[in-house]
This record gives sequence, structure tokens and C-alpha cells, in this order.
Amino acid sequence: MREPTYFILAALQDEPLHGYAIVKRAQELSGGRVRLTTGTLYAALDRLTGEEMVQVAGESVINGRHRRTYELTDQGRAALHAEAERMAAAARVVRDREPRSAAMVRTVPA
Amino acid sequence: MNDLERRYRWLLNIYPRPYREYRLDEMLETLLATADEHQRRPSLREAASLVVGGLRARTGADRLRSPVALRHSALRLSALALLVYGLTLAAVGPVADLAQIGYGAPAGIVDVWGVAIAAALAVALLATAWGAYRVAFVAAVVTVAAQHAHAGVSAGTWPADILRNAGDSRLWPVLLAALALLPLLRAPRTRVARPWVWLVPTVLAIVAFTPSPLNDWSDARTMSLYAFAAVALLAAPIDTRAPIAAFALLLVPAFARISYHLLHTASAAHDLRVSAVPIATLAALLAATLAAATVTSRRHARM
Repeated sequence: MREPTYFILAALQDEPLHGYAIVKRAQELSGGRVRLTTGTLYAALDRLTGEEMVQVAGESVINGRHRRTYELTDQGRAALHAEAERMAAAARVVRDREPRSAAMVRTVPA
Repeated sequence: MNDLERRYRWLLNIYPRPYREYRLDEMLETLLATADEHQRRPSLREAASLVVGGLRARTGADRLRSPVALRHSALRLSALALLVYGLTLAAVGPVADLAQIGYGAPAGIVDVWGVAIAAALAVALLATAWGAYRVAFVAAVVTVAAQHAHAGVSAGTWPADILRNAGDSRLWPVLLAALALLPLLRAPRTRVARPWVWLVPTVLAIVAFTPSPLNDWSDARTMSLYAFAAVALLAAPIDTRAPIAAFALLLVPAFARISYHLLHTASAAHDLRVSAVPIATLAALLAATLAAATVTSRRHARM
């Protein structure tokens, strides 16, 4: 799963959001790294809707414009959790390593 | 409506109409909400992503989600590109004959074989465009047989030495198209929106505007293929099928050249003056289109 996809799904974990709110939330959650453009966001939402990971939660008209909100499906939530587990397992490989002894560290060639 | 909204509305025209009818409002809202307060023009980043997204929606590339759908569509587009190219090469003779009749030449000059081959090829092309792959495959096989028989009869080698003409690049496009159609005969059909509407005029335009037999450069059969490959490399980030179709087209001169050298080296009767530049250009383009197709299809497979 690519990073933008991961953070779009992560943005929708708590509540249904509309397009602009997804962009903001994904940026916050990723520490500013994922700055979705509108073209990328809607291409991803089309794909994720097609794969039944995301669905339209509601439609309303605000200032004369249609606005849709999106929410995670059970399948989307499962895929997000599976990806989070995979990354956590990858992180553990580095984090949980036994620290080497100081002597060994010093033998690294200059 | 302010300047920024008007400009974004204009840019969003790049998406197909049904898509705009569904999405225009919410895309505009998001574009305007993410803009700076005094911004009057679309940012370059936003504009580029809208152009790519719009073109992907128009070519149908955004709907090819599974690797199976991508493979099916890439084979179909490769077959179409090969058949269009084959038809431009096969139609040169009959079109020139008809033009001469227009200038008062007797009707007897028309090469009936040439017309029959072009007609069978046109049937294969139309059948592929409409997804009737069995008809297309049969028409392609008939065309290949007729082309070999015709070339053999003209050279006086039929039927004893049918491989003799394998060095002729006109005989390869339909054979390769038949091979591309073969896996499509059994595959379940996937819905892809009319991508041939884009492909066929693009290939024809490139053939018409680059030196090719269609505009009297009778020995420049590869220039338009090189131009198509260059366009396909540029289009690779938008549509991964473009470099795949270009690679299939480049196999035509590659196989023709290899067969020519093998046949003539074996007979050793000819002094082969091999020039390194065309071979290096062809090899480089084959490698570049293959690399672009591999990279973009791997990217496609990741969500």
C-alpha cells in the first residue's frame, strides 16, 4: 500500500469526512508529509470505492454545491489494520534489536 | 465566481463529461478550499495532477484495477496498434493504384491480391476494435497466409520457400497481432471504455506526419514506429499500456531485421553492409519501452 492510500484510509478511521477534510486530516496524521492534490485524492477515492474499501456515507448540498462524505468499509478497516501490523512488524525488526556491546561498536572501520 | 474558480472549472474540462457530472462540485470545493486566500491561479502541482487524472479518466487507464484487466487491455491495444500499422503498410499499394485510376489509368492495374489483403486486415482491425476476437483472429490468420502466398508468388518462391520473405517488415505486424489476440480468445471480457478511439487516430496521425510509405517515403517504414515509441514513453506515467503497445510495434522491425540477416547470412550470397546506428536505435528503444512498461505496471500493481 502506498503512503497516500494509507493516510487516506487512516484519515477516515474515526468519522466520515468530505474531500477537503480528508486532505487536511491526512496531512496532520502524516506530520505534513502527505500533501494530497485534488486530482490524486479523487483518483484514490474512485479506486478505493471500486475496491469496496471506502463508501459514500452521505450527500448534502452546501452553498449550492453537492458535497459527499466518505467512510471506511469493514474491508477498508481490515486492510488498514493489516498494513499497520505489517509496518509495526517491520519497525520491530529495528527497534527491538539487542544493542551491541560498546566494544563491537568501536570496531567499525573508520 | 472568482478568477480562481473560473480557471479551475476550465481545467476540469479535461475530465470526461460523465465524470464531471458526478464529481465537479466536490472537486471544485476541495480545490478552492485548499487554495491560499489570495491565490488567483491554479498551482502548478494541482494543475499537473488534474491533467494526469483527467487523461487517465479519458483513456480508461484509471479503471484497469487488476493485473488481469491490465494484461487484457494491453494485449488488445497492442493488437490494435499492430493492425493499424500493418494496414498502413498494406494499403499503400492499393491506394496508389486507385489514385492512378483516378488519373485515367486502366482499371486492370489494380493488384487484386493487395486489395484482398488490405480488406482482410481491415476486417481484423474492426473486429478487434469491437471485441470480436475470434473473428479478428481468423481474419488475421487469413491475412498472414495471403501475405506470405502473395510475397512468395511474386518472388517465384511459393510454396517451396515460404520463409524467404520473413525479412520483409510488412509481413510481421499481422502475425504479431494474431499472437497478441491468441490469449484474448479465452479470456473473460473486461469492460474498458473505448480506448481504441484514442489509439487508432494517434497511430494514424503519427504515421501520416512522420516519414512513412503513406506519404511517399517508401523505404522509411520505421520512422513512425520510433515516433510512436517516443510518444509512448512520454505517456507512460499516464497509461502503462502505451509503452507496452510501442514495444509490440518495435518487434516488427526487430524480427524483420533479424530474419533478414539470418536468411542472407545463411545463403552468404549477399554482401551485408550492416550499419550500427539503426540497430543501436532500435535496441535502445526496445529497452526503453520495456523498462517503462515494467516500472509503470509495477507501480500500477501497488495501491
